[in-house]
Amino acid sequence: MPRFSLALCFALLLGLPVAAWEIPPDNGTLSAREVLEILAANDYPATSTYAQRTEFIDFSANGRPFTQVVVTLTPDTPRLHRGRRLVVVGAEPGSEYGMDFLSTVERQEGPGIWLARRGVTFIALTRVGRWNFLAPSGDGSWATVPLGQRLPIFSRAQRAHWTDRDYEVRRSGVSTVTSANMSPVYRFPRKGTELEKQMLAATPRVFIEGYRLALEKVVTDRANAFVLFWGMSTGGASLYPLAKYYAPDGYLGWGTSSTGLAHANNTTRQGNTSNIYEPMALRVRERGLDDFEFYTRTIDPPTRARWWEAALRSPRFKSTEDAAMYFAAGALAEHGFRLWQSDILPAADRAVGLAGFVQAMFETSFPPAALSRVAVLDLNGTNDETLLPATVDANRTVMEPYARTFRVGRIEGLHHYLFTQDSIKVVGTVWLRYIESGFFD
Amino acid sequence: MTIRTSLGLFGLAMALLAAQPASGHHSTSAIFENDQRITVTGTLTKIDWINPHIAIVVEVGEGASAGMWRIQGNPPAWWRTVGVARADFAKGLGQKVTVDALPAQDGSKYGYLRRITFANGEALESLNTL
Repeated sequence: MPRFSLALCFALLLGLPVAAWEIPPDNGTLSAREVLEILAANDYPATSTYAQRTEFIDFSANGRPFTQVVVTLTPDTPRLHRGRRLVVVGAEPGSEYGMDFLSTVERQEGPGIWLARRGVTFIALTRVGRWNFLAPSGDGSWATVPLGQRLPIFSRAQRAHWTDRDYEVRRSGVSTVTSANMSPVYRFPRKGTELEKQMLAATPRVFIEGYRLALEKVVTDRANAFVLFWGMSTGGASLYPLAKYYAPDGYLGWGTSSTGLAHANNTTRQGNTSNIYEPMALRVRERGLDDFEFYTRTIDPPTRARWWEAALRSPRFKSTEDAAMYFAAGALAEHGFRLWQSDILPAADRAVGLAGFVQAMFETSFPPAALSRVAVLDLNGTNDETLLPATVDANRTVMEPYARTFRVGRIEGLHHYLFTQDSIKVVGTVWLRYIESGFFD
Repeated sequence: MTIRTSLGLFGLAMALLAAQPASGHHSTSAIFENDQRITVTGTLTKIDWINPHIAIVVEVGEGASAGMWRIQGNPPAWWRTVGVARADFAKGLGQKVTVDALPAQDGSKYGYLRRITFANGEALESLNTL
């Protein structure tokens, strides 16, 4: 007993975890009992304050201006791994924007802050178009814009929201969302408008280029940083292709959507061959209350109503990133041809020729060769509303051959989103344990 | 008290001590209203990058809050550890800024910096509580 007591004291002194739970074996599940153990303990107490920095990066692509937004939480007491400071790069889900990593729909601290308070530098990347540069609050919020009038703002130089002179509304015919890739309401840019030109320029590669520029700017000591990518939901489909342009030290998964290639392989194998023909070129897909209900089916209505009110600060739409994520081959081709035939594309961008140009439209739907140098952790809740265990397994069959190491883990009872403080604590704790285990080394 | 408990409490106390943030010269609660926020919009005219706390001056031209506001912030060493230098503030000199701060208890034009938003929309925020 005295030996155990001393070990406990030293563990407390050094801030080391002492809980009995273990990270699950490959394809294993962390049980409900172990989840309760994590919640009852405090394996990783807060150790740091931090600064939050919001930066804008202007760049030009396909003849149009874009502004990439990056929010960085820098702790004053960094957590080190193998002597390098830990950095987690988060890419937001399909309805949200970077600030959702900082504040949950319960209006409490999000997973980015949980990590920062434990010494992890957290970088929230926002896909271009999703930050409301016209927000009176200055924090990119869409709360003051009616849901039905939201369209992407790709550049901070834009001085007013798009109006119905710029876009038309089309209805899909479905009344209720039953899957993650459909919506009742879509908005398309009208022909010849500035909105159409801006959306034409927003090719899948542009989202990745914005990410790259952001990381090059804010990670000034790459050699001294241990950089892990976390693509939350749609963010995963964006962060996998980023490895070609900015190499991470690993992929830290939670609710991470896979590449377009894996998605299309799964849907076609299940007999759904229509998705790849979905006419989503230049489409803005509204994600309204029905979409939110899809992910909060187990939440009581009053609580859901409060959460929805908070969720309205997010853009609640997807734009041209949808086609790449779902490998909508027709839409990607249409987007490429229309941009090539437009008058906005600079001569330099035509140097690759039409074949190279159209091929590039498909590039971000594939796992890049750079994945072969890193470990991928695909961690999910057993109650995930969209990434069902069978979907995760199917994604693995496509992605694993391209990764250095690929490991699946599950946590019993958790859902897709990290809406609650308990879910953030559990996933954050499990992540830090995976990192310490050397899985990513 | 057994030896085991003593050592446990000692370990816990050390862990808690290690978890404290880099403190400034004094507690903000002694001078500022920790549970309130004020927003000041004006021209950033001065930056004192000095110990024990940095301070900025914001000139507000009109309205009820018109005048010179002095806003104190975390110590220079703290800003350095989170990768922020004087130059990051200085880029806003002579320009309009919006400052969110804890107000002074005495109601004077004095506050403790939480967030500064520059004219181009970029922002810096300090979270100095665990």
